[in-house]
Amino acid sequence: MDTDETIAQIVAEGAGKPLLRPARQLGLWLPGTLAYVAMLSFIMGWRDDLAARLSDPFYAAEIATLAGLGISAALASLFLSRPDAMQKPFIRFVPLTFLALWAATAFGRPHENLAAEAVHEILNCDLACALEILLYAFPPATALYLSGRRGAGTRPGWQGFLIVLSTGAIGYLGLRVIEPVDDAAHLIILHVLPVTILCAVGALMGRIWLRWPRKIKTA
Amino acid sequence: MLLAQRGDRKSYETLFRSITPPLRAMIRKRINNAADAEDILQDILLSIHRASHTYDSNRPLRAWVFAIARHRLSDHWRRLYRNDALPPLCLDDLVEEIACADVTIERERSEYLGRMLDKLPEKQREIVTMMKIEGHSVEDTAKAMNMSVPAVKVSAHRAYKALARTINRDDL
Repeated sequence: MDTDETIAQIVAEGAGKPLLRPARQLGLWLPGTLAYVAMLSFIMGWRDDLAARLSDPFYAAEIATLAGLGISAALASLFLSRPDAMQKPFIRFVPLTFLALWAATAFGRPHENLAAEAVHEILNCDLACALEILLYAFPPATALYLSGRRGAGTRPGWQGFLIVLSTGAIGYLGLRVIEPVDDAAHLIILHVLPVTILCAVGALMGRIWLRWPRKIKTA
Repeated sequence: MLLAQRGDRKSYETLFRSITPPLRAMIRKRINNAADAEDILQDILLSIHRASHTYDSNRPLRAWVFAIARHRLSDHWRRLYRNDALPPLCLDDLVEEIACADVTIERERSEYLGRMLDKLPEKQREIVTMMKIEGHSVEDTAKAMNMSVPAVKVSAHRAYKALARTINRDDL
């Protein structure tokens, strides 16, 4: 088949209807995700000291930066579902700013016996927290992956990473409002580490599920 | 593209006819084989078609089209690399090529130096040849030329200055 024939075939099929803009896609995804997180937290039970903890500026800042991380990473992943990232390729680094802010607010203060407690957490490895994070993250991540697959991104690894970073942050946030544990070692080993591993898995899944087909065929 | 997304087939065809030449030029710059280049062009056109729903009419079309083209080209190179389809690099051939290039450059330099030396007076030319090309010492050169050592040094110095002047003039 020569190029003219290919063009004729393409024209016969016609152009696809345009996707919603990323901000609008986010506008559809976010209320559903918030409703799901609120419902799950309500079922699992809010932490007893939530009102008191919210008056702590560090805790409030941590929750705010986690929310910012979740939303910005989701938006960045939707931008990256376009081949040219809507001419804003830098957007993939925006969530990393929130990530740094969150790390500073969550673990910026000095902690005593952190190493010893971390070792204790590793030895008493309890997967319940990781499973709960997964429970929070899985449905929103699936929705974002499906949105991503409808697009045609050229950075599938980044896209997958951002999707899981976003939903991992939401899962982490969910656990922070239901689990009355603020121990840094526990948070690092049983919350941060699983989310980090999930992000790596997300990047890998992105490279598999969000990449373009090797050879594009006409319908 | 906006019209095409609304179902105007004519605009869609015009769009593809207008983006094909710059895409072909871009691919031909990177791929020598005409058949492969045309194959990749068609793949890129199909990719643009498949991604047509991701184009936002508020953004420049060119950047969007070339982002897809670059991505598909990268895929092509990656595929070739993975399938070991890139032409094998033979070290012996490479060494031979480099040696040939060295010989060519060396010959050019030698011819240039010969032309420069021809412009010197005979005595100075012989002194420079003996000292700088054949590698004789000042004393040996003086003996061979039947001259004193200081006279050879002065002649060599004058020869170098004359050569430098000639080369500078040629460069200008």
